[in-house]
Amino acid sequence: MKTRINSNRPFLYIGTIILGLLFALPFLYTIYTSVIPMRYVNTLTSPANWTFENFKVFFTNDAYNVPRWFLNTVIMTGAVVLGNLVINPMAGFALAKLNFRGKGLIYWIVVATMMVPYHMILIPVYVNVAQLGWLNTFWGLTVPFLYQGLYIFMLRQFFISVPNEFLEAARIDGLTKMGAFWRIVYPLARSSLITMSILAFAGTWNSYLIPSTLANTPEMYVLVVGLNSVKDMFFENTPMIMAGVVLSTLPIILFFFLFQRQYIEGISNAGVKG
Amino acid sequence: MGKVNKKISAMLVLCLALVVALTACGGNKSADNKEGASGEKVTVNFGFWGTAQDLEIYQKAADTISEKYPEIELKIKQYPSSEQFWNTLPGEIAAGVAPDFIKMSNEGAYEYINKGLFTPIDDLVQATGVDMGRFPDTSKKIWNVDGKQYGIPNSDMPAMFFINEQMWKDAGLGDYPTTWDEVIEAAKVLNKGNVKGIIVNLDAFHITNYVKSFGGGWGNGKTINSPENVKALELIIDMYNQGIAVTPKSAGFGWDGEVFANSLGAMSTGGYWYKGYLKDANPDMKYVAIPVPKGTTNGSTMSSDAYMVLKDAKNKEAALKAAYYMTNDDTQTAFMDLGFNPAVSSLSEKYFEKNPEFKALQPALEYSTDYGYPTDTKRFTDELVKELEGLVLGGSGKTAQQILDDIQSQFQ
Amino acid sequence: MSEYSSKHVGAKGGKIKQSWLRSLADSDKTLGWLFTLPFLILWAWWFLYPFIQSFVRSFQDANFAALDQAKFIGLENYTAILHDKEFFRALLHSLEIVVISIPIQTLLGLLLAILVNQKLKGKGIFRTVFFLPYITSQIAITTVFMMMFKQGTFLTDFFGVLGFGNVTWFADTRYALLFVCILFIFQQAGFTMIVYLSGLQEIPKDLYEAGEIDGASKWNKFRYITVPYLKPITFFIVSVSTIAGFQIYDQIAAISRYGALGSPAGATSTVVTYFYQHGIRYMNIGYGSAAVVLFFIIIMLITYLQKKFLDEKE
Repeated sequence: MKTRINSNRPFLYIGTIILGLLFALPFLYTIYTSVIPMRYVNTLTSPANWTFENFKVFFTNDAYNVPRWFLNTVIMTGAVVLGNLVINPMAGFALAKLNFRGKGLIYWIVVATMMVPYHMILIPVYVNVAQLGWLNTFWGLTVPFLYQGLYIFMLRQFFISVPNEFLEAARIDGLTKMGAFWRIVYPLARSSLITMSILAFAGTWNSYLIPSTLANTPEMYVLVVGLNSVKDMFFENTPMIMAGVVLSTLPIILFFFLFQRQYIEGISNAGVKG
Repeated sequence: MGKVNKKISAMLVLCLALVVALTACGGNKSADNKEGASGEKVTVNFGFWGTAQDLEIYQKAADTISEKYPEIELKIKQYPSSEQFWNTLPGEIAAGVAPDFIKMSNEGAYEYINKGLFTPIDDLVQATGVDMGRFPDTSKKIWNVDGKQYGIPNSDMPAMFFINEQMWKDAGLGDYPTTWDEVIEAAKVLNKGNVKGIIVNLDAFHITNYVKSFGGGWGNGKTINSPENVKALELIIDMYNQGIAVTPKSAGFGWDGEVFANSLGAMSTGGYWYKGYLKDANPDMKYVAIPVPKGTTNGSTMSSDAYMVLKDAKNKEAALKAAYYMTNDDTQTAFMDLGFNPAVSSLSEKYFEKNPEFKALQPALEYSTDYGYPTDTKRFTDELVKELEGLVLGGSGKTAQQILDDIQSQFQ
Repeated sequence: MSEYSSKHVGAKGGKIKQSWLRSLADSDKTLGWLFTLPFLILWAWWFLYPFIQSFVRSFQDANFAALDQAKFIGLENYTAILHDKEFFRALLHSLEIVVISIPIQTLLGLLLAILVNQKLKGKGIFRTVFFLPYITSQIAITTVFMMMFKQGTFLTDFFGVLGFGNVTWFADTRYALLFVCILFIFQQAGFTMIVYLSGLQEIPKDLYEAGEIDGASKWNKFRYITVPYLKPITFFIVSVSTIAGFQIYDQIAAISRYGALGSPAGATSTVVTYFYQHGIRYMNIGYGSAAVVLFFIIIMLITYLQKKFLDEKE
């Protein structure tokens, strides 16, 4: 395994490509189903029968307001990701690198928060939102979700791995702990923050249960809810659903593709030496 | 240790104080909308889930309602799905923003009526003077529970039996079946390779139709293991044992219509929704719709939907008036064009002119009845499906009698 | 320039104030609370308060659609659940999903992360492709898998040769849960991959360089540098995936579409479908809440044990 790596390269490529095809298959099939008329569902049909009719409906039918829904989704997702980028790292850092009484309790609070299925607290949350007059507003869609126990937990685990020597070095340079966090740890943890942003972005963009509950007027629909809201049939029109899935997934794919470039090996070298 | 405990209890006290404060705040919700003084409009909210065409029709009704009821302003609220509606409703009621009336199907209504979600409308009918005489008794009866009327019927349609016409002719079979015995004989002929003679979806709707054709029924939970029901279930089990039946799931599909559209089953119980579905899923298919075959008698389920006023409606009289307005001839005709048979007697005749493929079903309108599920409808249908799947897909080895006895014991 | 002016302003505030602030910003105690405060405020208002309300429900006979008529019934919900063998069946299914899926998806995710962390042409595409199942609607993915795993496709034929029955997997009580596991592994591997990927990024290169000087083999470097460094992340992945495994819902709902949740014949019921079925579908929110509280206690215990065995000593 040690030195043969170069001679293994073709195998590496072949293996990765096979795995890649396996992972891409369902999405490719989703795309395929989105471009066929309903009568060909469950069968393979030649490209001659393919059509963009399913997509066209989204942009021509008056019941759909895709640009507006897209904008709503962008605003909601943007605000949630930004909030998570501020609140979670701070809490994660406190839990990983600071010693204070109550820390153990807060740790378990974070962990416990992840374990409750959101459905269980959805009704009280809804009433909460309604009493604030936040139904069908961006406040209701974003404020309750500016933090995520999951990501605080994740960042804590990442920050634990940041060597203490970094913080001590920062101290010698005259930085307070707060300064060390913003100037050393935050930039150093770049790749974990990217990971968090990607996950928060995907999770928020794709969410259905919460936005469909807290915002249920057509003007305030987000993309996933909107694309699911208007049915033209008694029963599910699979190609239309798949077209909706493709439309709402593409932005996440793009987001991921652009941001994954930020993973550059050994980025943490920058701060280590000295 | 003591210190930690103190901390925790301090935290708990804090939380409790917070909760108390918040509950207190929530307590004095804004008072209900004041009844409009004369000349002021009353807003009525109507909630529904359905298709884009439905929305269009309702929007039109909202625009014209002032012609009949000038004091009412009707607002339409569409929910993405029925599931979404029921998920949101408790919060909406608590927050005072729930719709005043909704449209729902009789497949699930009994449960909600019995759990006190809707208001009986008899007194309201008196007070508002809406004309319930426009609807046939068979429809009204479906929406009558314990002598109280709950719904204004919108449409009703009997369950049907579908046959793939091409397959039937190719197999050289003659008249269409009227009894299950004839169905079984035909199914044996139609059963070829991948194609099964009959699709028996292990789903409450379909099973209930078998049960009704033997003169049985669930009796709202009282007659689950009646001899008629056992006989019907034995018929289903027998068809599986003979290898002529298939359930959509084991063919890899979600529901019976998909199997039928893919020509993997020659016959199936179904409903008026087949028409719209088959038009898209298999436009070339020729099919026949006939009444559900007889076991020992004529019997099938009636799919009905109706407008019902919620018990928390702010202005119940206005809500009822608005609900009644939804059954006006224009709105009903628009729905008729979408394939619904109006519950207004005077319009129903036209329906069969417009939908000749369902002509054979007209007599079934007389004898088709409500599902008769127990109050815990969803628990019952889940249990029924689970037991039958356990038998057909899991090989539980139970008999029809055992299955129904087991279920009956849970629904006394 | 800006740095200078900010310093300047700071100086204006006087030395005493500055050092007071400074000590605040440097004290673990104040900073600890200061940094967790935004989270705690949001949490108290948007989680704790709703949760307590739901917790109270677990002692009530509460109809989901008519909450104002709820009655307190003490521990009745809890005793009823503990007497329901379906609950334990659901719990067993949840545990099965976790036990089968977690080791596989963790190793698969690590393998994928290592693969796409190499110098590889088009690795951006590979990363995206491996992440795809995680971001695509689970309902869509399940639908596609259902088309692939039905009787008579090349996949079921293939598995038939391996000794599985050539049947529609999600319609067979023997294989339906395994089918759910496959879906879950497939979805979660992308998540594991990118978390590991960022973990791999953050390993200081000097550690490897030091290892090279000591003449460590590639395997030893992996064994003695990569693995220990990734330990806190692995703990995170395992516990988060455990929770996700317990909460798996969309896939099962898609399999059970048009039927009873947990289809076929309850073979894919889990604690969350049990909660959903009783609390939401049967509208008995008190009973459902009690199920979640029990489920919460169980999963807390599991996480506590995982932390003991997997997490670092602080």
